[in-house]
Amino acid sequence: MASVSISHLILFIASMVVAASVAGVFTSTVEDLAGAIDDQGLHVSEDVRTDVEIISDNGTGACVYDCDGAGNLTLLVKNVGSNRLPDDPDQVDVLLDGRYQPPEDVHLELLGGVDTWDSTDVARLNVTEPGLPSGDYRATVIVNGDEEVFEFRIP
Amino acid sequence: MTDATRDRGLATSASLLVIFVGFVLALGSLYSVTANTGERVAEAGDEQRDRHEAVALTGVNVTAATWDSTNDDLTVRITNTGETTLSVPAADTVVDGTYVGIEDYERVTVAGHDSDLWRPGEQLVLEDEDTVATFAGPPTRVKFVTEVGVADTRGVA
Repeated sequence: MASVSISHLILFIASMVVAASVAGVFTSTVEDLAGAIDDQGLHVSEDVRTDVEIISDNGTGACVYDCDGAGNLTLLVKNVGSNRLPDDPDQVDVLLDGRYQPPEDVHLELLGGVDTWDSTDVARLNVTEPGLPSGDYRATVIVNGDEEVFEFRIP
Repeated sequence: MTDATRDRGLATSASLLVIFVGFVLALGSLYSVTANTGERVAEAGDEQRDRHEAVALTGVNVTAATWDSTNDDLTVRITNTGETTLSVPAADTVVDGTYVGIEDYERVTVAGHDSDLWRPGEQLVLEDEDTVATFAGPPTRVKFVTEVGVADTRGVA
């Protein structure tokens, strides 16, 4: 009789262990999923809040390229969104005629005496690209997925 | 009912209870995260719609840009032709491709007053004495940009 009870107890404990591991795997999987949804939501809301505008003047008489004689393309980028943007060239992508400009060639400077790139603040992007011949060009700035295009001509 | 059958029933019920509790806890955390994320994204979407509305309602017109070569002074007059009140410190200007912030202008007046609020129909006058004077030559173009990115450009007379 005692051996039957012991075997039942063992089976009971085994079933509990199996049930607990099933529940544990399930909750940890759902927690991973919840974490991923949280990260993705944060990302999407940051992308939606981000809005930049290239305010450089591409009209005749306004200087965009080689203004300082150092072969720099100067782009003025205004934060017109509602969140703070990273003022790190690693997180701001610049393309010139579709060619990616590596972060070491992009110098970002905040204007107006501010320390952070908040809403309505302007940053100056100096892209080192010496020796560009005359012609039409297309510069693209991408911040947090927001893409702005600036077309200009080097006379 | 034998003892063995009762024990098996107890084991089954207890196991199901454990699984059920785990299921409820997991779904609870999933629900709260999904609700928070949805709220955050919806809020960002609202702000984006507000910004687009502000852009649609904003309009500026640079009515005059004059260069006084005697004193090296640049005077820019801009009228708020939109339907929104704009912030003067949040605006910017670009003179011949070079950034000139509002703080670089020595005199900034809105309809004759020293104010940061620029209401529809009012004229903003910017006068610079020493920033543009350091440029290589007399300025030729002024671009005025509002806080929402709406801009207008004018040649300097």
